[in-house]
Amino acid sequence: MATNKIVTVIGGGSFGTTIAYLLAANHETVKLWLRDEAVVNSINTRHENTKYAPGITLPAAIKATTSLEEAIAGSSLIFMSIPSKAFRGVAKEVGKYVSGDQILITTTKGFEQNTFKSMTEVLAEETPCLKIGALSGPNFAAEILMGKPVGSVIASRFNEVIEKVQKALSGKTIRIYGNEDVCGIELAGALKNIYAICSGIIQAGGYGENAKSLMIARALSEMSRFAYHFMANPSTFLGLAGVGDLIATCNSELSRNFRIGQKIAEGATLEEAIKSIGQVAEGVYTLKSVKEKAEQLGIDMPITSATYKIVYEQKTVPMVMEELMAIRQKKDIEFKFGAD
Amino acid sequence: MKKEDRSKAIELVIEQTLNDQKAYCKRNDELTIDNIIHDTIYLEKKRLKSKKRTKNVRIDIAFWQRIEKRFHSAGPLEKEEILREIIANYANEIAGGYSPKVYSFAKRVVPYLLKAILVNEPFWKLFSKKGKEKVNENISIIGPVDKILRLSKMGTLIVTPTHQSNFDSIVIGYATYLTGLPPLVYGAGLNLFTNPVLSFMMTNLGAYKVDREKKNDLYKDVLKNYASVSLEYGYHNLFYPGGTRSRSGKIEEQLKLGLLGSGLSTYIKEARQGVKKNFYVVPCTINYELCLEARDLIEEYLIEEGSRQVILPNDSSNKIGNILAFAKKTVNVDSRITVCFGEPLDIFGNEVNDEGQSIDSHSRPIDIHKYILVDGVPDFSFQRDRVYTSILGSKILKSFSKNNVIMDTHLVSYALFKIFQKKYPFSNVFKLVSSYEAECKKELLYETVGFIKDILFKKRDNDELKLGRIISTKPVDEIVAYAKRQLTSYHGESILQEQNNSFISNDLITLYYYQNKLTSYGLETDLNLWLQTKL
Repeated sequence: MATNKIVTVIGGGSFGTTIAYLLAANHETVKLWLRDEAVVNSINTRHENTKYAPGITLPAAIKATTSLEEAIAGSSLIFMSIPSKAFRGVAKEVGKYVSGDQILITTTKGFEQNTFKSMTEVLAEETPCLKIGALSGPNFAAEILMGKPVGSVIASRFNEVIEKVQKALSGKTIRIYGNEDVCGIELAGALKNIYAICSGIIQAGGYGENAKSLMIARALSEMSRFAYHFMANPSTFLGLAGVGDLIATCNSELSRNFRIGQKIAEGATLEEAIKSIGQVAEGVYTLKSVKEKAEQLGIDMPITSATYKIVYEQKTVPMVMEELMAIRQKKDIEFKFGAD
Repeated sequence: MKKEDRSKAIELVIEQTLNDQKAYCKRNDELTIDNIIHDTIYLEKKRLKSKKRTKNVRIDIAFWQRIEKRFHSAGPLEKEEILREIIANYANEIAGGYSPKVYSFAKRVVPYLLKAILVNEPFWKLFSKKGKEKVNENISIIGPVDKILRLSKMGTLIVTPTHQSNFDSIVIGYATYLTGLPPLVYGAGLNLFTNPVLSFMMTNLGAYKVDREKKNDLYKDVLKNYASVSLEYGYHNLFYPGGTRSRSGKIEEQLKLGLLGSGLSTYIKEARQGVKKNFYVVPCTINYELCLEARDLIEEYLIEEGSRQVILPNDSSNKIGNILAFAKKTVNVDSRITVCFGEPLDIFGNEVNDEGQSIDSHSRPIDIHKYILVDGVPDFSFQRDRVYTSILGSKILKSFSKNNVIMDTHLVSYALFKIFQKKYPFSNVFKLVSSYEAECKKELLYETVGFIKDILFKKRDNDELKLGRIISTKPVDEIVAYAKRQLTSYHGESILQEQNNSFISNDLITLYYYQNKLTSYGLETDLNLWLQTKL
């Protein structure tokens, strides 16, 4: 049932297409912006994104375009599904066509590499819009497109943004939860990709399920420790976008980051791994940014450092695992949620 | 506020505050007019209990006793009347006056008085050419002053300075005079109204009374509405968004959003009536080479933050020392003050161009009217407006940080303190400041000041902060000598003494205050690594 006439999705990758697919259930027109003219034609004529969602019939409400101006005209709710590397450039262009009263939502899970800024920060800098939010959670595009049940979190400081996104996306197979902790949600969404890579390494290295559980639990401590430095609420990590996404992404080959980890553990170089996946794996960039930031801020992040050594310094997996197992043993629950 | 506006403005404040209370009760099931009156009476009685029985206090006590008696036997309609009476009592107390005659007189005389206070020159000398030069030497005003002047003619200014010293209002008053900015309406502490002459001047110059001992929400609401109404009448306002003076010496890291939101609420109120007015927020930093109350402020901070971990020096000897040092300072010290105005912002935190138009980071115009639409018409939205004000607050903080002027006294105190922290590894800073004496080699201080200075130059070039004249132009040894002279001339020799090849400090508490001005720039990691190689 249409609740609003026009909404927009910027970015026609697998997740952008999925968001457009979900929005089509509640809107008359979903404008989908992407650069590739062939894919635009395919969506508009055959209702299929041949590149990122082959075989899935997209609703007729989705209208693809290569013109940003056309995509944004008349829309009050705009989703941004653009890789972090290209995010600022596209946001700047979007800034030309919005008038400030639109709601902007990022679905990108990563940081800007040089500045370590989050995607909502980039949107605030590049556009006149104030009502900004971030959507995150365990959301594999392939499962959503197959109609399997899914939950997601919309984070915004504005109640209005949370309510409107809940209304725009909600459906029979999707539940949208609200959270005011934008920083925590964005950090959770970005950081878990690092551990997905690590989990892929553990899986392909044959270290077993115990080792994977150990890594996931300690990753949660590491994430909370990091987030605390950025004034995020550590308890956000106990929610869907934190532990929820961590469990999904560290256990599924549907995760690109997990697959990158597997490939590297099997002997591929980073470049070879990326090439074989064929799509952007945000965790690769996030790993580098977070490792540098943690060092700069003096935050202890042994799993991130270990993953970095394997991915960027070509250290062997057994050697790094040995190092990791030898570090000083801490308390199980080292971070007291709600404590100062 | 002018006499002709005053009574109408008070009426507006009463109506607005009454409506606000009703709206709060509607939003919150547990809040009633009864609760509001009850809580206010309770807190007022508690406040008055500990006060000395002056004439005004006796009048206050009688007022609250009468209100309480009426309240206990009142029906719902009368309770609303009681609430109105309480609000009216507050509004009348707060409201300031404004007399063009007094203002015009003050405009001629006060600047010379201010000069006398700020540059420690005999009053008569200030009329001389030398006196004027002295003022120019000691006080500098930087920032987009011409633009702010232009904007003051296109809309209403809300000047939001940092707050470090009781001198701030004098300094900002003097800065507005020097730059030709219009007079600013501002809230002044009740203590400044106790002297009848000063009270007469303050009231007629546009100051309104703020009683910081009244901590109840109703009073704060009346205060906020008074500011809103004065904005509605087009009076340029000054708020200290940090609330009170910074106890630690750090630049503000958090703001009180209550008064700050009055610009937005006035804007929406006017827009609902079809009137489009411009409000411009002007962040501004007031920077002192020496702060008169440094020692008192940091002691308050340490007691609050450090709990029992700080051992403060003996009070009485300290007081004598302070008095002597103060006397010496009033004769000798020639310290510098810099007022740095930041780029003007709109009430949502966007920058504005020379034409007063809101712009985004790429100088594209923004129609801010669209921000306040609810279903296509301008309206209030409590939660949304709170977030908008918080966004404005974070932009003001960013402006404070980049317009914070680091001076020689801050740099040298920071370098010394970091050396001491590394050299004397106490478990926390509170234990370090309690230690009796700390020493460092002269050469190490010079090298450390040089190391930090290089980082600060890069940060200045990146527009992250500003540097005072001495740091910008003098070599390291002269910066240290100058800062030492400044610090010791007011705070006494104990803060920094030379002994053979070393510097010794017996007053780490005051050093801690000055060094805090530099703590929010992320210098620690690099500096600690560097110091590790030196110690």
